[in-house]
Amino acid sequence: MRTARLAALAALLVLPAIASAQSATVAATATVVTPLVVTGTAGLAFGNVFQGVNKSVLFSDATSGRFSITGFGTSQVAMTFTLPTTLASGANTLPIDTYDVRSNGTNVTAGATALTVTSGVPVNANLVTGNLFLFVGGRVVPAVAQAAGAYTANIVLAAAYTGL
Amino acid sequence: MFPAPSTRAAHVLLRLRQIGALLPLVLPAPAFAQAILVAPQSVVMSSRDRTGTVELYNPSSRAAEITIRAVYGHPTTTPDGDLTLAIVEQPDSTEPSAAGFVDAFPRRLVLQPNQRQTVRLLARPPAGLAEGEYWARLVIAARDAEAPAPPTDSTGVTIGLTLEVRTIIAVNYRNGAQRTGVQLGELSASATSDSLVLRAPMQRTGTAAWIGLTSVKLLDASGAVVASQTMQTAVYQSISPRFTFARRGLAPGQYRIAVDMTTDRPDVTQSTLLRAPPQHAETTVTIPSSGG
Repeated sequence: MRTARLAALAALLVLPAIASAQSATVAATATVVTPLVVTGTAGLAFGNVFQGVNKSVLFSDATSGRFSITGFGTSQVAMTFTLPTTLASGANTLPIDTYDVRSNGTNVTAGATALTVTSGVPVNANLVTGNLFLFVGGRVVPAVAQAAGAYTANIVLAAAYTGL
Repeated sequence: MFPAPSTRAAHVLLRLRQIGALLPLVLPAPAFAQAILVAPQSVVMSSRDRTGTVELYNPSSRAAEITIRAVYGHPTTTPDGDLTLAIVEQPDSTEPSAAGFVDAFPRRLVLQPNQRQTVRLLARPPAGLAEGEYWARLVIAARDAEAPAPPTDSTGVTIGLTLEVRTIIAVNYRNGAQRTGVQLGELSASATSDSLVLRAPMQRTGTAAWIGLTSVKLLDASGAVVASQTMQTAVYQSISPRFTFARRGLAPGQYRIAVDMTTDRPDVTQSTLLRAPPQHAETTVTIPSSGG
């Protein structure tokens, strides 16, 4: 509602300027639609780990991965995660064997519900309030002889309205 | 209420300027985030005007590397009735794919924080393309364009996963005049231990995708609406979505479920929205008194 009011206010401010720029009296109507916005808020950071010692980041930890989706209220969105199973540092690799993805309508981890996510397979969510927040935890499994280095990979979230 | 803009070009310019001006107000920039705002959410091109535009905006505080590609896909339903987006990377020749002849310019770019960019779409259909509507999805991917910080400890193991976000929008190309419609099949409803479940088969008619709204109402024996839901619906070929109502608070007895489908979609550009006659269907479902 606040967004709609802001947008309506902005339309009132913008439209007269456009009309005058065309040197004619042109009034126009505009339907302001909330676009679908997918945001990667924070990467999933395990920090420093010890060789041979598994390390987990819970979805509720401060270093968990964070996404948000903003869109048209009450709409349904198909989300597809690409969750890597291997991280790389140059030619060296390191496995990540577990992910824990939770969602919530507000930006808090308390009360977030678990999503059954399979990499590459769409999962649906309703943007009941126009917002959806996603929290991603995981576990890495460094080998005893894991080579030193900075290991990284990409988590991908693709989102699309199912009603278009 | 208001007179329309005098020309189509003026209307397009107006819309782009409106969107561009509104974006910062609609979406406050997060402090550190990777995001891309894409508008509109669907683009319709035609054989008369083989062009389209998409507006991108980077609301984040970091530069974003953007890549754009077209793939074939459309919404469908899983066997359980969940809506999903079916993406087919290499569709066969029987599919009405526009992915092979819709190009985006530019396809790669870097958007600085708070920067906007207009991406132009151009359809170059093959000669002799049969009349009909052809479908594609534009995948707009954004990732952090700034190089990650080097590891501070070269003797240890440091692990971090970065994020990439992709927004997928519909691109439809209409070759010739198109019409659409939808036909509701036989509804089936059942009561489970905690829910009332409806399946509503929908078959598109005409030559183009049906884009509209589905309203489902649950009515008690007196005709009062005890629950309802609406769903933005796109029927490209055929789907059979599932609708679920919680049983909590519902007394045993017979209920009526009414389904209405209309092409009322205020979130879609009205000039490209194909209208069709509304559809209505009903069925009944019983909540047994024994709780089963």
